[in-house]
Amino acid sequence: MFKGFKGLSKSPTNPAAPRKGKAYDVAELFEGPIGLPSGDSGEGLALDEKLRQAYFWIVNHAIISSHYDVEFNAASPRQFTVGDGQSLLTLPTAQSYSSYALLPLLTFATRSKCLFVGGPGRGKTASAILMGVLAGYPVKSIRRAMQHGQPQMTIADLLGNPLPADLVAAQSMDDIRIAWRDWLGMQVKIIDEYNRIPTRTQSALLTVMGDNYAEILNQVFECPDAAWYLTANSDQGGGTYQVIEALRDRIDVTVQALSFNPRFLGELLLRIEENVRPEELVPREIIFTEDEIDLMGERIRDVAVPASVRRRIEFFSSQFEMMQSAGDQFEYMTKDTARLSGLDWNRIISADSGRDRLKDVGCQTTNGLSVRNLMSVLKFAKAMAWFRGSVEVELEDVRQVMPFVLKDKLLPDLEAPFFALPENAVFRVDSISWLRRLFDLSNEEFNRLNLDKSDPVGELSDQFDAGLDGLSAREVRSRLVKIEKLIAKLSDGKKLYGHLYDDLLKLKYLHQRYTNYLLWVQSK
Amino acid sequence: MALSPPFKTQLRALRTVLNERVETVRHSPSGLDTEAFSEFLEQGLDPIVRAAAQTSPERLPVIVDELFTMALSVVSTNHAGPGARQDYVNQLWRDVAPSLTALIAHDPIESLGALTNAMIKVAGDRGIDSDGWLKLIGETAPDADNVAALKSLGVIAAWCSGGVKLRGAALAAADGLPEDLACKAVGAPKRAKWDEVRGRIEADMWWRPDGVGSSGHVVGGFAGFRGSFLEPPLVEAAEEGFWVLSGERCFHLIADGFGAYLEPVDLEAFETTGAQTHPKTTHNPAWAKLFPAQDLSLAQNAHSVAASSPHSYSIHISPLMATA
Repeated sequence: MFKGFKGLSKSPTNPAAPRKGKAYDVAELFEGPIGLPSGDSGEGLALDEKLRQAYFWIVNHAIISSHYDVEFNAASPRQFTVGDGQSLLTLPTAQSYSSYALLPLLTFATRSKCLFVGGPGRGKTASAILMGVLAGYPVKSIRRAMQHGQPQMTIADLLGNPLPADLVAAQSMDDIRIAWRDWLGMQVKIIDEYNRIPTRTQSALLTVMGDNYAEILNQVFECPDAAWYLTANSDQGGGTYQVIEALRDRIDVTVQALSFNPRFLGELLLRIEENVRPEELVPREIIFTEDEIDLMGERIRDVAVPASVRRRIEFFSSQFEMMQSAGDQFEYMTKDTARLSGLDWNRIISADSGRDRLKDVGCQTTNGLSVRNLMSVLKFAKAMAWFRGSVEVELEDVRQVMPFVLKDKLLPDLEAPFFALPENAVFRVDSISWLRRLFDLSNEEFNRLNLDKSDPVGELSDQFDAGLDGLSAREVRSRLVKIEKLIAKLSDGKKLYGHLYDDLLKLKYLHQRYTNYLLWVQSK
Repeated sequence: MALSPPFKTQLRALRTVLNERVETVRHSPSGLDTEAFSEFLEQGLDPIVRAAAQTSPERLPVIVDELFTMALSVVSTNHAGPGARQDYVNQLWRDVAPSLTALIAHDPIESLGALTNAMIKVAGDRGIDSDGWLKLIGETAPDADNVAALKSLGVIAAWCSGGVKLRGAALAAADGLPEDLACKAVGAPKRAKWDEVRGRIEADMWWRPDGVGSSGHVVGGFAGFRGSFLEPPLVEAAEEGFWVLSGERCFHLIADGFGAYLEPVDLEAFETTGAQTHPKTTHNPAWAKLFPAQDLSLAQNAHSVAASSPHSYSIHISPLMATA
């Protein structure tokens, strides 16, 4: 019997100990194999379960060969060393996930933008279509609405055409009506092979992706919030056209379609013989309404990021932007300044002395993190925590989503000493593992500096956040002295690293705010 | 397959979409026995369609569309059809549903779908008499004029068939029904006043509006024989019901005239409540059949007495009056 597709499992996807004193709900009497329209009560609780049901249906039935590369552990995992290269195979001890299914699903829940990369025929487009089905669209509509990148693609192909009759008869631009393409109004948007779209058309796409509206001849079409899925045969932006950087930066996560394991060939054969396509057999129970997607977004935003986790994200992201040799004034000592100068990167790097370039993780990249990248990290960390049934983000949630958000955003400096070490050579190729390693190294440094327990800059920042109302001039002067003393202590004979650079800039900010306040108090 | 003409007409009209649904279910691991499904269409669905063709012909496309999908769900999961694990859903569709066509025409899923789910749930609950529930729902459901009333009747029938945990919900549901229907649902005589009936029910846990006197219920049993206990239970009285400790598991035992229910609770509940026993010497002839005379243990609260023994895995719970 064909075992490729089935309804949803009745077992909970995230089993936990039964709750104490659970009240009997009379509605349970009417629950069963026949799905009744859901009521309002408990809807928020059911949504994460529904998303997990969707995930497990995809990995168990739609994707034949799943790779569990997003690993979580409840206890020390069993590890095996394999081959001459001493490759490590880990058996996770907690529920782990396939990035290729999970990240697109979290993209769907948060209405973000996901890029599928990988060779042809690996199911990138099929996975994107599956996400459209989850939003309730018929497969035919999704296929018709999908935009296929090709070198001749014009803005009119992408967005729509002015009505010919109006073009002739119109007395002003406002009279020209536009026949907008249907896909613009959909809540799941799929752009296949986006790196084959000509540059000019990419700019039009950028407006839709970035600002959520389309414009032709002064006419504007406001698009609904949507989850975006783009596919590319190469993650290097190759193909026929170079992907403009701003467009690439709009993408929240990048997932790679991993290879097919021939051990699952039997299931592939059955699928051919039975002539079934997973996207046509999605159970109705895992199809989300527009309101449910809205509610999921709210629930995910409600997930808390504890200060301890936030601090580690701050520490990690502060590693990368600073470049002492790029600026004279403190604020301009950044990789962005170096890049904007247009000068040869290696020449600027050679002047950057003083730091331990092997130890400093900031030296492994040619750029820093954008605000948009950080927003994506936070959004997906929350989504991951919510998906796992948690009300607050754990460090492991961040660690697991970080590489997929920063892939192609945080770019490696392959000339850095780190990549020259034989044991790190593999990271030149495997960017996901490199980014996760980068986060681990940052956390090791955070622990070494004992920043969990001692964070004087954070204390001064918290003191400032408590407010300035009613502060006396004397108290402000005392705080200014404290800031200056701390700056002196931090800068005394120490080399300048990224996190220290950001701490010093934060102290300068606090100093300036107190100075302004002091001037105002004295003027009264 | 001998189907009625209106059913044939609708199947023909919806052929493509219904065939797709059959294919989807057929490709599930449980699969679909298409012969069994055809038989259920004839035995279970056709009588409803025939009845609906008389009362609501304009709603037939919706009825067939929804009931066909529901039929796929219950047949593929072996809840209905000739290969069903139990015959209850077949009986519900065949014997009860044709008298509910007005409600089914209005909302097939919320009416027959909800009743079917409830039937399956009741059939899986050892504390509820499934035959009794089906009989009660067959007698009262045709009087419901909306799906909310129909669901209320389902809850009341579950309570009156032994589902004591639904006692409060059933009384609240009855409050929302017309007086005659509320009385009929709980088995009270015609022309009874619901307020009076409700008052007596609240005043006496063991009173039954249908006039049947209850001598008590036997609960528990050895887990190896599908019972609840791994060790002979210890019983302590609580303000409402009893605490029961068996090995490392703790339960809250509640009972009324219709049935008894053991709800698993946290072990701490037993230890921290400081349950009280009432060592009043009483006798019930049922105990002699269940327990040896020696070491009989009794616990009683304001309205019930629970008898247990270190030599038995069962508990007998009965009204306090019966022990006098």
